[in-house]
Amino acid sequence: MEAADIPVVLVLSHRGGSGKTALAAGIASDWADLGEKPLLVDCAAAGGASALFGRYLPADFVFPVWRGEEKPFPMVQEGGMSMRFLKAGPALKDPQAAERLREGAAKARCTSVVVDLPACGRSELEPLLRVATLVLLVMPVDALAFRGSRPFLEMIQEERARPGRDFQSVVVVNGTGVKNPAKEHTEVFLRQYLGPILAPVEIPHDPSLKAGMAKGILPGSEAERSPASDAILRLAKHLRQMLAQHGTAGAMA
Amino acid sequence: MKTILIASATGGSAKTTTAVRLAESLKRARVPAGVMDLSPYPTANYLVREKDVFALNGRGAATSVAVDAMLRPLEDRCRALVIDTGRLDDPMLDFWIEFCDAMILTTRVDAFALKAFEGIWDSLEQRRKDNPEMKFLGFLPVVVGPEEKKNVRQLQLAASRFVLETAVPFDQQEILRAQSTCIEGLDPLPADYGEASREAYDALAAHTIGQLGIEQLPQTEPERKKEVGLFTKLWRVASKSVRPKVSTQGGY
Repeated sequence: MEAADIPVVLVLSHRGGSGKTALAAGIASDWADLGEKPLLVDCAAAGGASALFGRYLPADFVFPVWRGEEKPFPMVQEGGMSMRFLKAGPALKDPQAAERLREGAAKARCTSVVVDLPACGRSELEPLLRVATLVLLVMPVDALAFRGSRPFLEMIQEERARPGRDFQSVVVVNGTGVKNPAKEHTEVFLRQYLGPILAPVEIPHDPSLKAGMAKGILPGSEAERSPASDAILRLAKHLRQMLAQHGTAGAMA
Repeated sequence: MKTILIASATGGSAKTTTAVRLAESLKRARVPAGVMDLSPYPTANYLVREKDVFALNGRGAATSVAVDAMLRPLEDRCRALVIDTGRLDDPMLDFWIEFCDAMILTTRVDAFALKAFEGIWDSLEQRRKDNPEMKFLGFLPVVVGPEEKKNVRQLQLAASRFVLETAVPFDQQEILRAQSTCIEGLDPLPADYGEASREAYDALAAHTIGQLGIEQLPQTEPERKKEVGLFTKLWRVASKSVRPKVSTQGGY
């Protein structure tokens, strides 16, 4: 597969604790179950997807392609999942490293790249937005998060309009159904501010998801079925269709 | 002016809430205080409720000179500045870390956060090297929901000598109530965070004042009278309860 054909999916949020890691890991896991070869990339310096694998990986654990080495990304098999995994840490802020992400994935014979990014500013995001095919904007349901999301959403819209950007975006509203005193207002907010991007995908609030992840059970695996994990799986399938229609994802079709 | 950095290695660990509530508790303890929000998408100003506690956006200061210029005028205005940052590895922090006198790391104690906990040591050590004079006040376990209280002990074991004794108790509904007050058109709700949280933050403020030697403003006359009155009342109650009952008709 050509490097240019490999779709790069960024999982982003302006807030911490919004479910980025659960979504990124759930999507990659579902695609792996469907016979794809996804590469899951963890850009957090600490925490993030690497904690799923039951051990701490230092930030410079694997960057074989960046160092000019030919060995593939390591295969991780744990809790019923099997996928290529890269602990990139903050290294992807470097534009050259971001450019070579697809190249590395192609060498490792991966068919897609899912990047779990910590909440970060525009300058850190720019290199990755240049190579992104699809951006998932994860929004927790609380009122403060919605209020703080305005500049974030505006920034994404501006970036989409810039020349050289070729990504679609999907808003994922995480935690719906929680007893929020300001729920009506947040819904008004959603209609006002998220309309121009894309219709939001909703994931119900589920505190047991993190407990499962601590045991290495990924959202959507047979051992951990719940309305939230089912919603993540539906989203994964929807994204797969979107990427197939987009045309960059030859192997996703 | 003392600057206290509130940081975290993982997301959703109540950094902004802690920064704002700590500044408010410091103000109640007669230390004029403010919040500097360094998050890429700042929200601290929506949470401040106490009069005279301010929240500023510090994201614009991206050189040491600019940070110095931003902090200098504040020295006349407050005695403690609480800095709310994004992540420990946020590049913005490179310019601010040298101005920090102390750091508190907030940490969630849900099962997944505890599993990810050991990953923070590298980032923490790096920041301590960046400013060796910065005092590390400790980890602040943030408890979301009563089922997580049992996990605080695990954090204490993992972080041993660094852990603060104050755990901030929250429940999900308290957080949502606090945050819903910042939605346009919605009336502020009367109890936007519980008494338990308030007491925990007051204790954290007292700890911070003691550790950093922050000078408190002198008590005003009404405050002094209120404290003396309360003390006198308590003394009377205590004296009555220990006074032996003496009978004049044939002994006890």
